[in-house]
Amino acid sequence: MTKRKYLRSLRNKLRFKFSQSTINSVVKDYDEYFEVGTSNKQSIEEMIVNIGTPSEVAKSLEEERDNLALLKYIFRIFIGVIFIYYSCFFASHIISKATIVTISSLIVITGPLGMWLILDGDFSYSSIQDLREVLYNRLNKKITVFTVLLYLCSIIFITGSAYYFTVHHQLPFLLPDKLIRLYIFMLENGFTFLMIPLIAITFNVSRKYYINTLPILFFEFGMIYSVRVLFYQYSNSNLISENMLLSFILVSMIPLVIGGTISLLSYQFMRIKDKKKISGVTVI
Amino acid sequence: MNAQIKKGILEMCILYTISEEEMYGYDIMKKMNVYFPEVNESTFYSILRRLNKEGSTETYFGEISNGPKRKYYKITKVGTEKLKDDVISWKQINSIVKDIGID
Repeated sequence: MTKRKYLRSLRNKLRFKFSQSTINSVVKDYDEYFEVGTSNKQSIEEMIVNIGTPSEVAKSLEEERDNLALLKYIFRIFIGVIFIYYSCFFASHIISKATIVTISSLIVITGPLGMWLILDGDFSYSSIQDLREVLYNRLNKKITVFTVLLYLCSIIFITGSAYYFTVHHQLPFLLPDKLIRLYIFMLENGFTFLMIPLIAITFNVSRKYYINTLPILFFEFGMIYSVRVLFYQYSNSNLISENMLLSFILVSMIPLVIGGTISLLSYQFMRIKDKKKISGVTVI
Repeated sequence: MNAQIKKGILEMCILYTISEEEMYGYDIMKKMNVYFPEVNESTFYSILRRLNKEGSTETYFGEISNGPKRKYYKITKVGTEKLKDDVISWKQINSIVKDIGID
């Protein structure tokens, strides 16, 4: 059994029985245990024999069991779905210069909160402070560059063909009828679809390195919505002069700025929380 | 032996070990394993968590020259008091047991 498999099975054993913060801290501590053990030249099998199986670990924590954990989980998902629904609802609104600030801040707040409630819902992960370390030292640089490139390509592709479609009322290439309908659907919801892999990557990386996702999500939502606003304006105007392009860019910056601000604020909030934890008596 | 008694003794031993030296989780578990080889290391971990939860110990992240940050455990004032009480009652029980005649 590998370390990853063991930790995953431990997480599964703890799910629905313990609170989210208990699960995260237990998994994190055992991850550290394995890491220290490996650097002390101990084999994974040996360590597993010493600790016991995931179910034995779960049993040893019995006294911390949260009987309402399942109920809380369902409640969290319920609230999360409502948030996401509203975020999609706001995103389908037509953007004008008058409403952009309100709509984009609503999206930038509701979307990440919903995602976070469904997939994580725990503040006790360490703050974004460790992200720098992760990005510079531990994350595979090639994969990061590849992902960013893939994203840029798909954004350019989707918006390019969306632009072509609105101007010429036909696609830049021929497709069978059924596929065209699917394609148009994809074009209209392109950015929503793009969000899914991005969020999946965010959660995967943050699970692996125990980073709180919420600040990153605020920023990501702001960024993606910015790109969407930019191309939305671009594809909805027939005549484009240089001045207009400048105003387009400025207007489309608004979601990014809002997302960035909220991200920084939540980051500061978590840092204060972290400091309190270190100085005071703490629950791990 | 009764599991409750054993847990109480383990708790006292772990608290004493931490009071001697601030250590990280892996070290504590390994050290205890030397003295109690038949006990699963996850039991020590659950006791550590309990001590931390009741405020007898607290944690901080310490860095080591090569390697990731490690969670260190150190004893608090509450913990020192608790350890004192535990040791006193342990000695009392020990002498009572001896008085009864179990040696």
